[in-house]
Amino acid sequence: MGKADLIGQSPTGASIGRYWDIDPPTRTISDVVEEAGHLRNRTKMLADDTSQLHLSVDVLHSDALAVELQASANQRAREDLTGLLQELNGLGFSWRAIARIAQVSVPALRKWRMGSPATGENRRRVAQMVALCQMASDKYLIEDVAGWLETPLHADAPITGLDLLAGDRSDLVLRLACNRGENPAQALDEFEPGWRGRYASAVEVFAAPDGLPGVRLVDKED
Amino acid sequence: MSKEELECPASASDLYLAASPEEVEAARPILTGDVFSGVTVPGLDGSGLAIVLTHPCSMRADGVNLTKRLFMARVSPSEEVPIGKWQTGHFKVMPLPELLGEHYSARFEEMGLVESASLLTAERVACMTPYGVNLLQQRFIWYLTRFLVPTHRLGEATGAVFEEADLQEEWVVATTERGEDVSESARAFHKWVRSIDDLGVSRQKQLEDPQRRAGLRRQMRSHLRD
Repeated sequence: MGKADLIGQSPTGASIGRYWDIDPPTRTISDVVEEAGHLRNRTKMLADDTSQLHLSVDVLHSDALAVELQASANQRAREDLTGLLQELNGLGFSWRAIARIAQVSVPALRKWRMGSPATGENRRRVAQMVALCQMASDKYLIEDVAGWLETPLHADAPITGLDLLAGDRSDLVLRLACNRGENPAQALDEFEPGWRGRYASAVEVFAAPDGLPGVRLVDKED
Repeated sequence: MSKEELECPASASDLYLAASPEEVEAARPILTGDVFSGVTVPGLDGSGLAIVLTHPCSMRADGVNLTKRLFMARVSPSEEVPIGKWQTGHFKVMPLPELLGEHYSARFEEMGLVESASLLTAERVACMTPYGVNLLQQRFIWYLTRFLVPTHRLGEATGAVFEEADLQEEWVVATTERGEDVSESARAFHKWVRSIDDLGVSRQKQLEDPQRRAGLRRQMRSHLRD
């Protein structure tokens, strides 16, 4: 505030001619505390509302993804089974992994490849795997879907995207694929609560002097 | 599951790639956990079923041919061991439920060295999944030492060997269908998997990294098509 402004504020005699600014009458510390508290409450409510909205949109997005996956899977399920299996083979999956997702034995899968019929549920599972890989590749630009699904999601556990799929949690895989800032640990918490404790181990793998892998107790001094 | 307890499968199907002779793929290389019939184990009476116990990383001295003898244990019929009891008892055996449609156990107190050449003509009646082999190894280590190694650590150590066995099986099936000789086909596979690819890394080495395995399968399938 400039000196000229002070003239309009009914200066006292003592203030006339002074060159420094004079603050207007201020609020008390109690006023400030009350206002800050009020502001804090308002921002907290705003944050809660935003957080709630985020959760709602998150659920909506997951539901929409599930519907899209299902629609795509239903469409792919009409195709020839050997063609679907060949598509997964072309992506680089092992027959063992495909059998696991389809919930059949490797010998049963071998028969399918030779043209034996599969049940509707098994066919649906294969079609869903194909549809999910297509979504991950086309929509979320994951270049090597099979490699991505075979890689452990977190350094502290051996759980992979294939494990999530085998456990019927394609929703978690899609959530990870679309990379909405989701921490893999959160997906693992949802998939297998207590995973950190379960996979924490005092044993580690090391390369023995002959070059072969071995197991040993972790050296706690390292 | 307590960290002091052995692990157990969710069901018998978690244990086997093949649980009867009809299901066994002949092109699959002999590996730990394979069960053969009509095997004579030196030191034990008679012949019968036996399971390979030799560690997957050390059963081929040159990486291709089996070592002269393999460590095997007798497999015989047994009472059903309820899944829940695997963790706290029956430490002298590896239960083999639903093997050949019955309940069997591999007996760690009945072991011996078997000439590997004899297995080439014996009937293979079962092959285990990698998880099944990890459980077998966990129980065997526990039997010998009472030291508990988590199966996921055992799997980490042997994962690449199982991947190589899967690839070899696929290669041999594909090439023998075109009329190639099985032994020649296996040799060609070993030459390929030990060679260096365009990235300058041995294909066999790449199998150690789970992230690169799918790429290598694609590479092999493309190679077989060309």
